[in-house]
Amino acid sequence: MKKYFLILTLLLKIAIEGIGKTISIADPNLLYSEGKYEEAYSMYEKLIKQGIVSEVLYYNLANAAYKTGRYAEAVLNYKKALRINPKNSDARFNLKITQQMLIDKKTDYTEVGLSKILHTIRYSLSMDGWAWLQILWLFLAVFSFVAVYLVSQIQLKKVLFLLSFLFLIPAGISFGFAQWQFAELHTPEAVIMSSSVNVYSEPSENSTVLFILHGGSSVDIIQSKDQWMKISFEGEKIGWLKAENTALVQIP
Amino acid sequence: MQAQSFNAYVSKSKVAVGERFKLTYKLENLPLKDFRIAPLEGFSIVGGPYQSQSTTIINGQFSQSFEVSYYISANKTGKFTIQPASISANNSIIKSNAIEIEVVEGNVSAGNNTPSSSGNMQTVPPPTAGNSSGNDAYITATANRNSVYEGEPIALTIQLVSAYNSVSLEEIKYPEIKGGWVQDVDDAVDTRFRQEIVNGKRLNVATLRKSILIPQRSGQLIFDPVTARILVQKVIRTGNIWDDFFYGGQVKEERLNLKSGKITFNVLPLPEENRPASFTNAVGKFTLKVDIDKTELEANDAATLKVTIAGEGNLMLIEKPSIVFPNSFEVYDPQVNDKYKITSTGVTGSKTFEYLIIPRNGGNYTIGPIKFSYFDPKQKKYIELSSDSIKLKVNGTVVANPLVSANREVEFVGQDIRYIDDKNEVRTWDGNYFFRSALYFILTIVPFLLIALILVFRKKLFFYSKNPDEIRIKKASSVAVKRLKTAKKMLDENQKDAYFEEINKALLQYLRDKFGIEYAAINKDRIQETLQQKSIPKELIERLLAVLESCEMARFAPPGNEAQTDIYNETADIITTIEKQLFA
Repeated sequence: MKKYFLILTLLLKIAIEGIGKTISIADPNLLYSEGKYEEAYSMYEKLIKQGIVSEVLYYNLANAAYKTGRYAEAVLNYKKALRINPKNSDARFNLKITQQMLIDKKTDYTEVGLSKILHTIRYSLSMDGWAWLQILWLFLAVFSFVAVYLVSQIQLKKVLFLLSFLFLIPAGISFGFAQWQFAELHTPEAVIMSSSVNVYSEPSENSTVLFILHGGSSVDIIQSKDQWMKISFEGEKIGWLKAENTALVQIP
Repeated sequence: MQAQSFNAYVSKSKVAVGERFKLTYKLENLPLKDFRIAPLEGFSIVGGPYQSQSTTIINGQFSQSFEVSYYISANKTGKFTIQPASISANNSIIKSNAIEIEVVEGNVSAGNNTPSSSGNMQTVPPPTAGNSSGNDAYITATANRNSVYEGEPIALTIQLVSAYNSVSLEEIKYPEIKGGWVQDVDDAVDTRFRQEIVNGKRLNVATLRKSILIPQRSGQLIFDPVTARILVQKVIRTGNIWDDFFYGGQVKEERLNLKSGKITFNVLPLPEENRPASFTNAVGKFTLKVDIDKTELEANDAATLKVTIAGEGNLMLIEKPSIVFPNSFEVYDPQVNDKYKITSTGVTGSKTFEYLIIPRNGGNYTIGPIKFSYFDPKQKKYIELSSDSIKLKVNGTVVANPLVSANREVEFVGQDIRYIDDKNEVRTWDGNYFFRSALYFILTIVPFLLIALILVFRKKLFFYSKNPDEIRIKKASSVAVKRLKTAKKMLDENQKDAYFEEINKALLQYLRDKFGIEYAAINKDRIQETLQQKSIPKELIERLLAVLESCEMARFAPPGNEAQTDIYNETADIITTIEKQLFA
């Protein structure tokens, strides 16, 4: 019994915190708090270059990048932090602020009506949060199904039988939200790092320039071909740009 | 080569405070370009700059000179230096010389200027105060009243009175007023001299300035003397008949320094008692008018509310009336329009406050009544005016907001990113999500598997057969075990009879439940027969029967303690073995 309990606690711990080691970022945090953003930035960046992957580190690096005017870097790192934890509302807020500083305006469709409500619900839990919630509902369904055979009252049996099926609905919804976040996390995305980039109609510099994107704008990658990427900006503006001008929103 | 020079000189190097003298800069053969004089410390410029130019040709030598002159006067005693002036020529800056000036107290008069009045103060009792030099010319400051309420306008008149026919005003200085607000009357003042009879003398009187003074503090308000310098032409009867006949005497120019008397006003504070809450510093006599451009409008449309205060008094100092608007109204700070005229009797006109209001929610609203109050200095009391209340119908959705509160939405006044996460220890990310991990799939499949298993094996797992015999067979051993436990308890309590009774019952009930042998039909043969059918070993049946016999015996026989525990163990062993046999 004790053994099972131990395993259960361990599982919960993993679910909540994830496995991983701890590192100290006290020094750059102190520099940041003293307003030495440039120094803080280079220290955060050094840690990232050492291969340390951490939501907090990406977020803090992005903050320092913002404070030193590196808006493209800031966008990239806020997005990375959000890849690890889409629930990080601070990163989401700061990303919005940073995007206001950019040249290219991106319409935010998450601001109005139903999509705002869905957006709020979606990010009220992390992807794993939704996954665990789905498991919980499934087990509740099983328990009420088992209970059907354990109770003797016919009326109660009926209710429990119905419940066991009803519990499958929130389980399905939870799965949907988890899957939605999963899809978003796996959408290949890139951030423009050069101050301005031409987007061509074909993967060739001899083709027509369709539009110009500026530093910090983020694009969805549709296809990659040699040094070229087919991208879409705001969904409908589609074209080819050179991959060297961008950085992938990718966590090593 | 022409001689070039840039020199500065003054008409006097030792002057009295307030005395006027000439400062001249002379440029020889230099262009007058970018001419700049240094700030004059301790002096003020009273005239100038005056420019003159001369060109001479001597022996074919062409020379040109410029002169720039100022009239300046010293402000205080001491030694001062007039710093060099500069011009630019040939791409360089050329500076003049500096000049030392000594300024002394009193009258170091120059030329034919008569010493002006310094002593000899003659104060004409208020409201008119004057000071003259020999009563031939003086300046007066007149106020229409001496004792006023805070905010009540006073009319001030400054006049120059002169016995001379030819007077020109060279300089006049009006005092600064602390604790009061001064504005000249709008109508142009006629500054020409008119002849008036003053104290039986025919004198020339010119009104220099008419203004309105509004005291803003209670207590003593002092209007300092006005100082002026005039140039007069004096006719001196020389006795020379010729001169007297043709010119009325010899004419002599003279400069006079004039100074009016100071006026002290007694400013009364506005009474504290009965001061209405709507009082916003208005003193005088006013009327109130409130208009709105529309009484029915759509939500989010703008309406203009106009509050007009008209009348006589300190209009310019009236503050906006406080109006309580409904909570859902967005109200901007009013636009203020002043329309007033300052006359020698005071200030008349109107002041309009235009409020732009935007109702955000539909509904019927009432604004006001708007209150305005003023202090009437004549009646020495406050008077409060009140407008009719304004009804406003706003079409649009009605948002329930029964609580009228002064709360306002907290709005961002600045924008910045949020602070860093200042945890010093951070956990690195392992790159694994729970979603779609092996554990996730297992945990998702397990419930469905469990349901499937339940559906398949529900008959084995859960008894809910209607046949009571089947239930009994299933429960037989556990019932027997329960009875044996009770028996053991009896043994411990040394209740011998009850002990054997329980053992006996345990066995009999077991046999009934398991094998369906009714109590009534129990006998050795029956047991033997039934158990053999179930292929229970003969030896075991013998043991069972032996136990049953022992129980029977023990109930009637005298105690044989040593056997008691054995029987208990034996019974348990028999039941266990039978169970094993049945399921083997």
